[in-house]
Amino acid sequence: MKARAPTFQWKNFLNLARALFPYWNFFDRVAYDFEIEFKIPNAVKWERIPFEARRAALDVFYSADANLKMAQVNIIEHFVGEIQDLQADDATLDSRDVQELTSFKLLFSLLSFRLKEYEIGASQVQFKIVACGNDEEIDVYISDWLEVETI
Amino acid sequence: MNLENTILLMTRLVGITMLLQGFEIFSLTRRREFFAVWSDRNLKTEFAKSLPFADLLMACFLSQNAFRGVALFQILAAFSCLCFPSPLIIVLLFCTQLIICVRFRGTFNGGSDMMLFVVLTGLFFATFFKNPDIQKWGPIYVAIHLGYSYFKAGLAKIIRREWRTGAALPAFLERSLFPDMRRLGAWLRDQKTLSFILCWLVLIFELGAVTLPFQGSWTFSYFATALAFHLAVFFAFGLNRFFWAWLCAWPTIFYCSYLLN
Repeated sequence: MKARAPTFQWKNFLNLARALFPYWNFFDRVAYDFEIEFKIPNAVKWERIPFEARRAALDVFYSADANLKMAQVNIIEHFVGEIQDLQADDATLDSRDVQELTSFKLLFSLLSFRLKEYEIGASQVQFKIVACGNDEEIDVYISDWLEVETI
Repeated sequence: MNLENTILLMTRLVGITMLLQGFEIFSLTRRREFFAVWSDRNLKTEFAKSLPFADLLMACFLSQNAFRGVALFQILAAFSCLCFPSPLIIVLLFCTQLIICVRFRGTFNGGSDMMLFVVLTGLFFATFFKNPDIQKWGPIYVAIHLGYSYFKAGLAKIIRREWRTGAALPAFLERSLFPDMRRLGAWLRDQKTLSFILCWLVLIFELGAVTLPFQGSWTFSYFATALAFHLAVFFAFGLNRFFWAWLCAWPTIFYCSYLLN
């Protein structure tokens, strides 16, 4: 039986076009900072994935590296937002619902790429999102053990 | 600054800005990391619910070559805007910018994308109509958004205790992508008086935008402060796109000052 094609939803369309509807709240709230950590089988500790950029002389004109890193950090923030939306509907998160999120897919691809970059040859990985405040760290989400993507 | 010079300067600045951004995006499309993450496999389900495209068009839209093509097209259009600006070129730049934002699920760089759309909209209005009494509303629209963007940003900050007490700036610096800025933020956390002063300077600068229509000859001083502010934000957080997007909009403030005074 052929799967039904997803139906067009105006709410999703408006979300994709939201840059057309400006809002000017910048750096207002000092909320939690979100970090992604991972663990491979038999590992004891969680490893944090750093998002750092290096400066170059002509950065003010061309800064692809920093802008890409910022876009990657945004994926984490979007994921946390979407997790919170799911929890608003149902406090207990179903892992299947989480794994269907686009932000989850982007995040997991990013993680898989970084594992390859670090030459970590694990076939499985678990990751978590940690909310970091001034004096505390809270695990916002811990994934199941997942098969690392082939990138 | 009269209307003609305002439009001329805006088109040049938009051309430069979108040329630089086109090169950035094109450069990203040549990195495996980029398409590994923002792949058609990851995006297609959401996009099928969000874009009224047939399957074939969707496949084209999500293809790597098509996105590279969009970046290249933006570079060409931006260069054309520098040499012979026209309403059509502005529309084409609007479209490439929108496609790029959509590919990144809404925005690539947040506020700078939004400001660019505002500028492109105002610029289209100013270049499409030939009657100056109608054209002028393009720059006025941009100027309103520009002034409001500073004021609203300040308003959103001043209601937060962390900004009023000076705790906000160190906190944000400690989250910068740049290790040196993180160290600066950690240091600033212990310099409470300095941090307090810096936070209030930001608040006064942003809220002070509400006086822009009345500043007359002081407009240039505010502009110089804004330039320094955006450069500082770029240096601290790597937000080069914000610098250029806001610079594109600034000629409209001088034009409005010319109209009002």
